[in-house]
Amino acid sequence: MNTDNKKTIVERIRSLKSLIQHARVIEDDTQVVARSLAEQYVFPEVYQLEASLAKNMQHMKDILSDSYDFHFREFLIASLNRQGAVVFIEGMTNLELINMQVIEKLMLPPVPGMELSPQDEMFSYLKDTVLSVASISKLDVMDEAVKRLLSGDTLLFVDGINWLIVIESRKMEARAISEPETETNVRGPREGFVETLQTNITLLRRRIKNPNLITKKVVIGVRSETDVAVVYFRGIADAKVIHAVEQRLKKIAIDIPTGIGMLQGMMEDHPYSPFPTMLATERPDKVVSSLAEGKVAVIMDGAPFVLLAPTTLSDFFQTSDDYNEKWAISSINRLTRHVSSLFAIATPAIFVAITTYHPGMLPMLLAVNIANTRIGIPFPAFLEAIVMIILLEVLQEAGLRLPKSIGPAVSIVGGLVIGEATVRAGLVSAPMVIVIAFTAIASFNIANYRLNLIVRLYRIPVMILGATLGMFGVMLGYMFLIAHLSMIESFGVPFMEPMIQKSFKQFSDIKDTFIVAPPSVMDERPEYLGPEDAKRQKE
Amino acid sequence: MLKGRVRTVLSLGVLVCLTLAMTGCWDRKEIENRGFVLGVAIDHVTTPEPKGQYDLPHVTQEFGERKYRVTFELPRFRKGEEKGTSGTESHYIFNGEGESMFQIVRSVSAKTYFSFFFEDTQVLIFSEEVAKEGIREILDYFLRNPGMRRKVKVFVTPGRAEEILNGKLTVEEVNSIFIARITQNADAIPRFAVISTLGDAAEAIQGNHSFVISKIVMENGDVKLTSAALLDTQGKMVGSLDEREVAGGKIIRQKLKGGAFSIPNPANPEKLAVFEVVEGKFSVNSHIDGDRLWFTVEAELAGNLGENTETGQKALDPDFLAAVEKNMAAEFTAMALDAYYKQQALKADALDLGSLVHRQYPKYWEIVKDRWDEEVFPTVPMEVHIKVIVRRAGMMS
Amino acid sequence: MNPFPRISQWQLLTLCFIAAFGDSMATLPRSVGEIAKEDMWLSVIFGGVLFLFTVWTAITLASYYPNSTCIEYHQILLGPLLGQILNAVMIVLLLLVPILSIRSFVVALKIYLLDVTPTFVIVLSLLTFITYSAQYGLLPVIRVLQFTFMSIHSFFFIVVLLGLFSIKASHFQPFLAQGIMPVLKGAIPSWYSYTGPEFVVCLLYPFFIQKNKVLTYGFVSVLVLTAVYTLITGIVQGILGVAETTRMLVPTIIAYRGVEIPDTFIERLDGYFFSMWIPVLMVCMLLWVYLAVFGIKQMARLEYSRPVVILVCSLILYFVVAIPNLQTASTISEWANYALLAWGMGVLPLLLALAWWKHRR
Repeated sequence: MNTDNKKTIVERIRSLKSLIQHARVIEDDTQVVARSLAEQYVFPEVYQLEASLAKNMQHMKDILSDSYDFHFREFLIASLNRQGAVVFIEGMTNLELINMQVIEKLMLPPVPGMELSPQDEMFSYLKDTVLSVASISKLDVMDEAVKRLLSGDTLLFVDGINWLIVIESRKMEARAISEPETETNVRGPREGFVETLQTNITLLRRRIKNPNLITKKVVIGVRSETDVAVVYFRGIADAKVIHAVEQRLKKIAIDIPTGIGMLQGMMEDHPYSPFPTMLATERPDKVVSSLAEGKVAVIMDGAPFVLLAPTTLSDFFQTSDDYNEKWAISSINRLTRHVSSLFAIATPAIFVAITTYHPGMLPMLLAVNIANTRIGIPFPAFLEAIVMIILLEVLQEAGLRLPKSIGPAVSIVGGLVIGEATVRAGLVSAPMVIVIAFTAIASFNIANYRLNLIVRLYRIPVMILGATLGMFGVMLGYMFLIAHLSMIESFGVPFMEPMIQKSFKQFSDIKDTFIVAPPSVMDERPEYLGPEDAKRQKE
Repeated sequence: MLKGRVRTVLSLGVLVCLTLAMTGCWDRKEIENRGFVLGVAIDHVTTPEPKGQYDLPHVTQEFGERKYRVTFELPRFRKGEEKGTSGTESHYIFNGEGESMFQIVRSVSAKTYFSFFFEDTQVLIFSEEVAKEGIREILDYFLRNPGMRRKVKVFVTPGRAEEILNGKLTVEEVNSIFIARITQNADAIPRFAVISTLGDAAEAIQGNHSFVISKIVMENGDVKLTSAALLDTQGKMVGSLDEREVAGGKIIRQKLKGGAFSIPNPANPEKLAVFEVVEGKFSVNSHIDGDRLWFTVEAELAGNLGENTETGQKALDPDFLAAVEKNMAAEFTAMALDAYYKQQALKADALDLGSLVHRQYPKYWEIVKDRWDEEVFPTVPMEVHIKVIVRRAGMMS
Repeated sequence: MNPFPRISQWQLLTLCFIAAFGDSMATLPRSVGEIAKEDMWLSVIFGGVLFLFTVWTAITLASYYPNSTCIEYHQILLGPLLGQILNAVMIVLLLLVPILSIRSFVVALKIYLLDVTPTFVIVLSLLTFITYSAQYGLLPVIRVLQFTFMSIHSFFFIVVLLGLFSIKASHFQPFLAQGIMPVLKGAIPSWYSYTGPEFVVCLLYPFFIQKNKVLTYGFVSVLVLTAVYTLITGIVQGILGVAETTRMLVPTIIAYRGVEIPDTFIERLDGYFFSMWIPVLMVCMLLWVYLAVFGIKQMARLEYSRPVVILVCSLILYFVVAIPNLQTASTISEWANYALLAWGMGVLPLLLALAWWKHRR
C-alpha cells in the first residue's frame, strides 16, 4: 500500500510539474498575444489634431506609447490664459532652450502693453512677442509634426487650438571631426566627414563661400525618414546629371537604408558590376574639388561617406596628395599606381602561365633557377598560387578586424613566419612567395580601397584563366576586363572616359589621368563632364 | 529565384566554365618537369646491334635503320645551395639510336618523366663522320618543329660527339652551357670560325650555298675550339680549314675585328713581332667584264704593336714600324689567298662570294647560280690589297 | 544603347587602323616574298598605295548619301532586290574574314604557344569575349578598341621595333633585280592585310561627326598602316633573308625568335610578340564581327544586337572548327583575297560611277 501511495505521489508531482510548465507556456503565449494586440504599428497620419489639449495629448501618447525618452510638460500659458503642453525627446533637444526660451517665456505674464488683443492672430502674437527662439513654424498635420518631433524639434500644443507650433531645438551628440581613416595623406587637410548631415554640409560651406553652392534635401526611407542632401554648384554642374541624381533618389522606395552602400547600390547605373560608378569619399577637400569640376555630391545623414556622381575610372587613382606636391613627383606616383594595379591583378597569373606553359619566355638561367627551387614541392604551381592567395586574403581580413594593438603583429606573424616556414618546409617554392608578396604590396599601392577590393576579387579568375590557357588566358582576362569597363557608364559619362579620348580636343584631359600636370596648365574643367562653364582660370 | 533571362545567361556561363574545368589544362607542365635539353650530340651508331640485355637505346620506328646515335644533355636540378661539379653530378644524359630525329626524341621520352624542351638548347654537336654524310636531313627536324631557337650554336668534332657531352670538365658547369659561353670570346680570337648558329646553317642550306662550322675537341677535361669544317651546299663536310685559313676567310668575309698575329720581327728574323688588330675596314667587290668575273678585296686593318721580342729594337722607330706594317700586310694577303685557294680546291664557297655576285650583278648570277660552287667558283681569280696601320706601340718604346 | 552614336576623327583613325591590323602581319612577309623576293617591302608599300584608291572610292561613294549606311544606299542605287543581294554578299565577306583570320591565328597559336589545347576551346574562349563585348552596341566596342590601341598596340610597336637589332643589310640587296613587275604582282596578296577600312567607312559613315575630314583621316590611317606593315616586312626580311621567309609558315614569329638584345637577358622576343599579338587580334576580330552584326541588323531592321551577335558567333565557331586542314584553309583564303580585291577594285568603283551618274542628272 505504501509503495502504491509513493508511486502515485511521485506521479502526481510529476504531472503537477508538467501542468505548471504548460501553464507557464500558456501564460507566455497569452502575454505575447496581448502584447501584439496592444502594440500595433502606428501610422501617425491616422490621427487628427483636435482642438482639445487633452485629446491631443492622448493622441501623442498613443503614437509614442511607452518610449521613455518622450517628455510631456504641461503648464499654463500666462499670456493666453490657456493650458499648454510641450512635447520633446530627451537627448535630441536643447533642454536649456526649451526651459529658458519656451517654457519660461510662456509662463511669465506678458509685458504690459503687449497683451493679446482679440484681433491679433495667436500664432503671430506668440511668434513676434513671446517666444524668443530662432526658428519657429506652425503645423496642422500630425504626420509632419511627429517627424519634426523625432528630428529633435519641440512641439507646443495649446488648449483649444487645432494646430501646433514647432520650435527648432536640436542638439545632439556627434563624433568630433577627426582624421579620415580610410584615406590618409601626407600634406593635405586632416578633416573628415562625420555622421551628422548638417556638420558635413558646414564643412563644405566653409570651403566654398558661394551662394551658388546649392544643397537640396531629399528624404529617403519610408520608415526611417533619413535626410539625404544633394549638393551641387549651380551654373557649373551639368543639368542632366543633377536631374538624374534627384530622380533616382526620389525613386528609391526602401524602408530603412542601412548605409551609404545601400543608397549607392540603388542609385547606380550598373548595380551588378563590381566596379562602383559613384565614388564614396570621406574627405571634404576631395568633395570640394569634385564640386568645382562639376560633379554632384550626395550626403546621407548617418554615414560619414559622401557619394560623388558621375565617376570615372581615373578618379579612383587620384589622391589629394597629388595636388599638394610638385607635379613631377605626383606624376610618377600616379603612374606607379596605375602600373601597380596592373601588377596586382596579373602577376600571379603571368607567373603561373609563364612557368607552366611557356618557360621559353624566361631566360635560361632564370628558368633553371626557378626549376631548382621547385624540386620536391608537392603541389603544382597553380595550386601553390591559390593557397598563397587564400592565405593572403585571410591575413588581410584578419588585420582589418583585429583591434589596433594586435593588427600589425598579426601581419608580421603571418607574413614572415608563415611564409618563411612554408618555404622551409618545402610546401611552397620561394619564387611563388615573392610573387604573392609583391602582388599584395602592389595592391596596397592603389589609392582607393574599393578598387583594391575589386583587384583582389579579379585576381583569382585571371589566375584560373592563366592556369588553363597560358598567356592566351591572361590576355583574355585582360580583354574581358577592358570590355567590361568600356561597357559601364556613370550617369551618362562612360566609365573610361578621360583615359579614352573621344576626340582630339579631349586629349588635354590626359593631364589629369596618367600624369599630373603643373597647376598653370590645369585651367579647364574636364571635358567629359560637360560643364556649363569650362574655364577655371583667367588667363 | 532569379528571373528567367538572368538565369539562362548565368547557367550558360557556368556551363562554359565547367567545360573548361572538366577537360583540364592541356598544356600545363610544371617547370621542374620540363626537360631543358641543353645540348644535343649526334654520332653514327658504331655497332648496330642491341646493347645490353634489353637494348634500351633502341628506337621504335616503322621505317628507317638504326643509323644515328643521339645524345641529350639535361641539367640536373638540385635544390639548395650546393651547385655541384661538372660531370655526372650536374647533368643527365639520354641516348637513342635510330634514323628519324623525331622518333628518337619521342622514344627517349619513354625513359624519363621529363618532356623534352628544346627552347633553351645551347649547342648542337655533330661528329665528323655524320657531317661528311650530310647534316641537311638531320636539321630538318630541328627547323621544322617550333622548339629550337635559331641561335643554337652548331659544332663539329673529330671524335665522338657524345663524349663532349659526357665528359667531365674541370669547371663546375653543365658542359653545354660552358661550351656555349666560350663562344663569347669569338670576337677577340679569330682562330676558330665565326660561330655559326642553327639559323646561319639553315639560311645557307635554304639559300644553297656552302658554310663553315667550327670544330671542337675535348681531351682530359679540357675543351678547345679549333679549326673549322667546310660544308657544301648539300650540308656535307668536304674538308677542314685550319686556323690560318679561317682567319684569312674572315678577311674576305669582312668580319676580322680583332686578334693577334705574329710575324718574324723585321729587325731580327728569329724574334717575333706581334700585331693586334683593333679595327678593320673592308671592301670586297666583284667585277664583270663581258664574261669574265673577278673579285677584289681591299682592306685596311688598324691596330697596335702587341709584342716586340727583339728588345734591342726601338719600337717607335718609323722604319721599323713601316717594315712591320709591310710584312703584316703581306702576311694577311697570304692568309686571305690561302683561304681562297683552299676553298676553291674544295669547290665550296663559304666566303659569301656567291651572294656578293647576286647582290652586285643579279643578272649574271641568274645564269651561273646553279653551277656556282662546282664549276664557276673554282675558276674566278681574286686580287687582294691590304694595308696595315700600326696606331700605337703600347706603353714603352 | 545609344541609337545614334557620334564618332570623332580620332576614333575613325583608330577604327580604320584596327580593322586592318589583325592577323595578317604574321604571314604577310611570306605571301609577298614568294612573288617579290628581295623587294617585298616595296610591294607592301605599293599595296598600301593601291588601297588608298579603294578608300577614296568608298569615302566618295558614301559622301553621296551622307545619312545612310551602305546597306541602304546599295538598295537605292541598284534597286531593292539587287541591293539586298549585294548586301548579303558583303555580309558573307564580312564573316569570311574573321573565320579565316581566327583559324590562321589559332594554327599559329597552337604551334608556338599552346600545343595540345583543342582548337575548339581556344576559338570558343575568343568568341565568348567577342560575344560579351559586341552585344552592347557601337560605343562600347569603340571604347575597347581605343583603349587597346593606346595600351597594347604601343607595346606591340615597341616589341616590333626591337627587331631592328638583328637585321642584316645584305638581305635587302639586290634592289629591284627582277624589275618592277614582281613588285606590282606582289601587291596582290597583300590586299588581305589592308582590307578593313573600306567596310568601316561604308557602314559607319552616317555616324562620323565631321564628314569633310573623313577623307583626310582615312588616308592618314592607311598611310600609318602601310608604314607599320612595311616596317614589319622589312624587319622580317632583314632578319631571315628571302629564302627563309618564303619557306616558313609564320615567318614573323620565327624572325622574332632569333632576336637577341645584346647585353640584356631578353633572349627571345617571340613570346612577348605573341602575347601582345593576342589582344591585337582579338580586337580586330571584334570589330569585324561587330560590322557584320551591324550590317545584319540594318538589313533585317532589328533593334538589339544581342541575339544577332550570338547567332553570328555560333556560325563563326562552327565554320572555324569545320575547316579540316591546311590546304582547304589556304584555298579558301586565296578565294577570299580575290573576292575582297574584286570588291575593292571592282564593285566599289562601279557603284561610285553609278552614284555619280545618278547625281549628275
